[in-house]
Amino acid sequence: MDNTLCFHCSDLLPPGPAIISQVDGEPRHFCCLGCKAVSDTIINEGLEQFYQQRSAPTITPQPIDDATREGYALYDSDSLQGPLVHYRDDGALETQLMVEGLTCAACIWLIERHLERQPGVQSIRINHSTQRARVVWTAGEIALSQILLAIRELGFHASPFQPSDWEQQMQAAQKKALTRIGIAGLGSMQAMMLAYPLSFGLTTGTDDSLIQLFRWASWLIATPVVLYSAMPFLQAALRDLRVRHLTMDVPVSLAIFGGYIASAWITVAGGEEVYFESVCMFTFFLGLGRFLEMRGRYRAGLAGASLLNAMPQTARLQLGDTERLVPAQTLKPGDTINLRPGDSVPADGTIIAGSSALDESMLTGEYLPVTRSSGERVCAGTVNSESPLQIRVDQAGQHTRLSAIMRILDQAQQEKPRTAIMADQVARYFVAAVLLAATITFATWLLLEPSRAFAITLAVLVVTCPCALSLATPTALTAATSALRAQGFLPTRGTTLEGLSTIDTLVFDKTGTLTEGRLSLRGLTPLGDMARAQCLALAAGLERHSEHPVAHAFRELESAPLTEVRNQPGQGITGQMEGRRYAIGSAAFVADRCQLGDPDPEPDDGSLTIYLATEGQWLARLALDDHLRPDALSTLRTLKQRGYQLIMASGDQSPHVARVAGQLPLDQSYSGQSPEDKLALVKALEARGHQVMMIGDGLNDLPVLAGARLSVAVAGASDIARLKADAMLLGETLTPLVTALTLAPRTRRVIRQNITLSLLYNATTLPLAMMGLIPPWLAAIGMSASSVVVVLNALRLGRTRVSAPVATAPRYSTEPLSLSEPGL
Amino acid sequence: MSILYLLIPLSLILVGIALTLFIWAVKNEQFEDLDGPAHSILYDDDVHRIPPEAQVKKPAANNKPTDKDETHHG
Repeated sequence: MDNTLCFHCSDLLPPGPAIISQVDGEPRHFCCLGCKAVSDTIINEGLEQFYQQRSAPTITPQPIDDATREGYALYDSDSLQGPLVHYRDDGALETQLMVEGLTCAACIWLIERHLERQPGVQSIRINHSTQRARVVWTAGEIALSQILLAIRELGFHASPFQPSDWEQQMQAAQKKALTRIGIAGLGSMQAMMLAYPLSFGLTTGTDDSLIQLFRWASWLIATPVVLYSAMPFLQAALRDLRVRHLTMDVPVSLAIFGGYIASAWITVAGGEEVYFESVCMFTFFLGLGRFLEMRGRYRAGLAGASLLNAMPQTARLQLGDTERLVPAQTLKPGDTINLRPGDSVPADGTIIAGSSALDESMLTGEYLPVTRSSGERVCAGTVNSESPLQIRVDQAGQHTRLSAIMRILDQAQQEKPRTAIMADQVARYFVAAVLLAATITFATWLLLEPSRAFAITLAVLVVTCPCALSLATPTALTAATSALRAQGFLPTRGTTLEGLSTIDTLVFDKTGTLTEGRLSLRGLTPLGDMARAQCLALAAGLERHSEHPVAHAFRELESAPLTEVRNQPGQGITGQMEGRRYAIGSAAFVADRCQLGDPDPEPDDGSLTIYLATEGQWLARLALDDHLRPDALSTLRTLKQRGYQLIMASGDQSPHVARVAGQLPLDQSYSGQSPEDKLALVKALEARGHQVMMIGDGLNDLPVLAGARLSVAVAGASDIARLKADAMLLGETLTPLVTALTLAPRTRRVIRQNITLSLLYNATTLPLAMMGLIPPWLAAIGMSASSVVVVLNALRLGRTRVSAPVATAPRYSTEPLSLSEPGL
Repeated sequence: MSILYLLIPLSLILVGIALTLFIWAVKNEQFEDLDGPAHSILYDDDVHRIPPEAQVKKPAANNKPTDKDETHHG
C-alpha cells in the first residue's frame, strides 16, 4: 500500500507529522484528523468491510464545528419539521433525506449500518440511483438533528427535503407507465405464443374449433393490453386531431385499435388472419419508447426538483430581549437580526453592532473575505464567516439585490432559443406519408379484391410501425445520459445533449469554478531561525480559534498548543506558548503586537500574505490564495487541442485574475465583471455567431448561466445556480466537461444512424406490404427486429470511456512557488 | 390435441396471476432502486449468524495479512 495517499480519502498526504491509526492490524496514514476520526468510527463499529468493498475514493470529511451542529439543530424546531417529517400510523416518524458525498455502493452500506446502531432508529434505506434516504425513527428516543449528525460523522452531508408536487405526480405517472408496459409485454409474449400455430399452419388438418380456441384466447389477452396500455395513444391522437395536428399517435392508434376491432370481428364472424399479436407488440414497443423518454426526463428533473426544497432561509429576529427563529420571507425593513458565524445573510441591511469578515464571492467573485463593521452595508446571500453581527434590515424578500438578479435570470431564460428535436421534424413527414400510403392501399385493393382490402391496409399500418423511430432518440439519450452521469456530468434538461455538439466557445468563471473557491496555503517562507514545520504548527495553533476564512486553510494541520489566544477580527491573532508570545496576521498588526519594524516587502501578486512573528523576531511569511482545481490545466489544455475557444470572465478585480490567466491556456480573460457585464459578453459572442457554454458556480453568474446557449454549474455551486443550469458537474473535477463534449457528437451520430435505420426498414417494407406480400407474423418479426437493432445501437454509447489525463497537485507546499510554475 | 382445451385456459390463469404480481410489485416500489440489491448481497452482514464452531478466526495482529480470501470467510 503506498504511503503517499490518505487511506480514507485518497488525497495526497500533507508534509508534517504523520497521522497514523491501526486498521486491521496495519498502520495506515491519513491526510487529516477528520479522515482518521471517521476511520476510527468505522473500525470501532466493526464495519471495516467498507474499505475492502469500496470501489471509488471516499469524500474527505469536512470538520464538524459548532456552526454545523447548530445548523442541524434547526431541523428539530417545529416550524421546520412540520412539512418535512411524516407521522406514520404506528407512531413512528419518517422523513426523506438527500445524501451528498456518496461515491460508491459501499458508502451507502456504511451509512445504513452505522445509522442502524443508533438507538431509536428503526430503519434506514438509501436508494442507490436517486441517492435519497428514507429514515424511520421513534419519536423521543432520537432527534432528527442527531440522525443528521450521525451521517455527518462519517463525512457525508444529509438534508431533509419534501418532494414537490411535480415529483409526486411524476412518480405516480411513472408507476402507471411501468404497469402499462408490463401488461403490454406479458400480453405480447402470450399472444405471440398463441399466434405461432396459427401463422405457421400447424392447425391444418385439425378441428376448426382449435383455431377458434387460439383466436378467442388471443382476444382475451389483447383486451387489457389495448384497453389499458394503449389508451394513452388513443387519447393523444384524439386530442391532436381536434387541434388539427398530425402526430405519430394518429397512425399508431389507427393500427392498434383498428387491428383490435378488425381481429375481434374476424374471431366472431370468421376470416383469414387475426392480428392480435402484432397489436400487442406494437403497444409494447411504442410504450417502451415513451417510458424511456419519461424516465429520462424524470431523472433529470429529480436533480433540480430536490434543490427547490433545500432548507428554507431562516433568520434570527431580535425582538426586545428575545431572539426568535423566523422564515426569512417575513423580515421587514427596520427589523433587527443576529448573524452567527457561518450564517448566510438573509436580507440586505446595515451592520449596527459587531465587526466581521464576510464572504462575498457569490455576489462579486472576489475570493478574499471583506471585513465590514458598524455602519457598512451587507447583501443578502453573502456569508458571515468570522464573528457575530447584528444587522438592521433595509430591504428584504423581493427587494434585495439577490431577488433582482433572479428576476434578470428568469427573463433571460425565457428568451433562450430552443432547438427543434430532430425526431419531431422527421415524424411529421413520416406520418403524412404513412397515412397517404394506407389510404392508397385501401382504395386500390377495394377495387382489386375487396375482401382483402382491410387486412392489407392493416398490414401496411402495422409494418410501417414507427416503433423503431420512436425508440431511436430516447434510447440514445438515455444511454448517453447514464454514461455521462457515471462520469460526473449530469444533464438536467432534454435539450442539453443536443446543444453540446454545437458548442465552440467556453466561458469560465474564476472563483469556485477554475479555482477551488476557498483559501489554501500556497507557500511559507521562513524569515527567522525557526524550521518550516514548527512555523506551520504555530500558525495552525493560532488559527484554530478563528472562524475567519484564512483559518480554514489551517484546519487540517497538526497544531501546536497555544494558550491565551486572542482574536482581533480582520487583523490577526495572538497567543502564548512556553512563555513566549506569538502573533499571526496582517503585517501591521503583527508588527504592532511584537514590537517589530517593517518586514521585507513582497511582490503584490494577488495572494493574501500574512505574517507569523514572536517578540522581537519575524518568523515566517505565509502566502494564501485560491488554488486552481487540480485538473483545470489539463482539462483546458485538452479543450484547447480540440479547438475550443476558452475565455475566463471573473468578477474579481484583484491581480489574482491575471495570475490565474497566466497559468492557463486561455484565449481571453476579463476581470471585474458584474453579472450584467458577463451577460453582455456572452451576447456579444453569440452575435458573432459563436455557440457559448458558460461554466460557473454562483449567483454572480446567474444571468449568464441563463443567457448562454448552454450552462453548466460546478459541484460547489449555489443551489440556485444548479437549479437554473442545463447541466451539473457532480465531482470536484472539470474533466467531465471533456467527456461530455466528446460524447455529445457521438450521441448525435447514433441518433442519426437510428433514424436512418428505422426509416430504411419502413421504406423497404412499405411497398411489400402495399402489394399484400407481408403476412402478420412477418410484420411482427420485422417490428421487433428493427426495435432491437435500434436499442443495441444506442447501447454502444454506454460503453464509451473517455479519459483525460488528470494531474493531481499537492495541496500543501512549504516552498515559495515561482510565478512561472504552471498548474499549481 | 384436445388437451389444449385445458392447457390454454390454464396458461391464461397463470398469466393473470403473473400480472397481479407484477402490478403489486410496481405499487410496492420494487422497481424504484435497481442498483442497490446488486451491491448489498455482496456484504457479509450475516457474520453473526454463523455458529461459533464454524467461524474462521482472524489472523493475529502482528501477522502480515495476505490474501483477501484468507481473511474473509465465505
